[in-house]
Amino acid sequence: MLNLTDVLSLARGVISQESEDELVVVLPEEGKYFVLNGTGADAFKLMDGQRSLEDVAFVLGERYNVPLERTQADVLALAQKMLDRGAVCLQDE
Amino acid sequence: MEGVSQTFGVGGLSLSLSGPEVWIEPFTRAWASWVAEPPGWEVCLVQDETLPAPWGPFFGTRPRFVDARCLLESPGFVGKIDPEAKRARLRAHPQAETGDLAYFVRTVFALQAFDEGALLFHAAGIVHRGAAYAFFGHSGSGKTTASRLSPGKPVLSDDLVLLREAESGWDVWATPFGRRRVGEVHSAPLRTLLRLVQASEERLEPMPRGMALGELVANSPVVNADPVRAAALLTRWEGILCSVPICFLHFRKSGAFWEVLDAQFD
Repeated sequence: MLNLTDVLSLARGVISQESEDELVVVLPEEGKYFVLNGTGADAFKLMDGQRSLEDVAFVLGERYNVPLERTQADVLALAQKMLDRGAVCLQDE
Repeated sequence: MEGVSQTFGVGGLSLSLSGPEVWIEPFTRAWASWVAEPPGWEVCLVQDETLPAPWGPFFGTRPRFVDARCLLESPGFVGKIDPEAKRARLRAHPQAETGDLAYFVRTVFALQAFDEGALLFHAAGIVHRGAAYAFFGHSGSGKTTASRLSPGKPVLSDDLVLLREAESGWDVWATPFGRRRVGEVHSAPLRTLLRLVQASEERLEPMPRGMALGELVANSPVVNADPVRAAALLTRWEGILCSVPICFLHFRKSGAFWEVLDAQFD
């Protein structure tokens, strides 16, 4: 289970490409892909191996003028989903 | 055992197959219309009795990429492809079947095509009024069904076609991978990409660009398993999407979908 102090980065080999207003994330080794849009794409791009999930939520909260508690919950949920899919990894792994 | 070799050409790309006659001869027979010159990438098939007998189909083995080489291994098979040297070698147990060997050749061809600016695409290519319609989707989505429901129209392949950039847009080329109909038609300009969805009615639905890219990458065999080529693969599809439309095609098991396509694209 992730928590807000965790730092995530793109998993090895995963590539992403912006296309119009969406972000296509491809996991080549698994032959899978998914598409993120709006805040999901922004959150994913902020998981850069530097920022904690708390920092990611703060940036998004400011950017979209959304209460921090809600942004934190959304970021944690998205990050867990991305981790389960193998798109990101914990920075200390 | 005497070794023989034979060169095959697909859409201007050629590949030379060599190995024991008992393994090469079925290709020469089945792919007689693809025999070509000059030699291109070299694919060497070697019988190796020290390997265990195959206990499952080679087909479906996912390629691995290590140090710029592509490895394809399963019990009874050890395949190595060196794209830089334009050479590939498959060691296989003598009990290997032609279908297994063809899977290796297909894998080599997918890499060759990509490295030479083209793309092997998991789609049925059907020619209608001089243009090619590429119907794609996962296994079971209806590629073969769409081909069967298009009587009288040339089918470039009901499973894998080759896309090559042309002077204006992209061309769809026939391949020996999958079933073909009307052998004298080799290629046609790509008119549209259609993601098949089996449904209770015929209709077209726009596909969002991001989803389209993801779907197209997912249907680009072999290359989509290579982290090094993946970014270029996305870029290549972006380029193709600049020149042709892409849609979902909802269709029943009838040929009525051609009326929907004519209304939209003709």
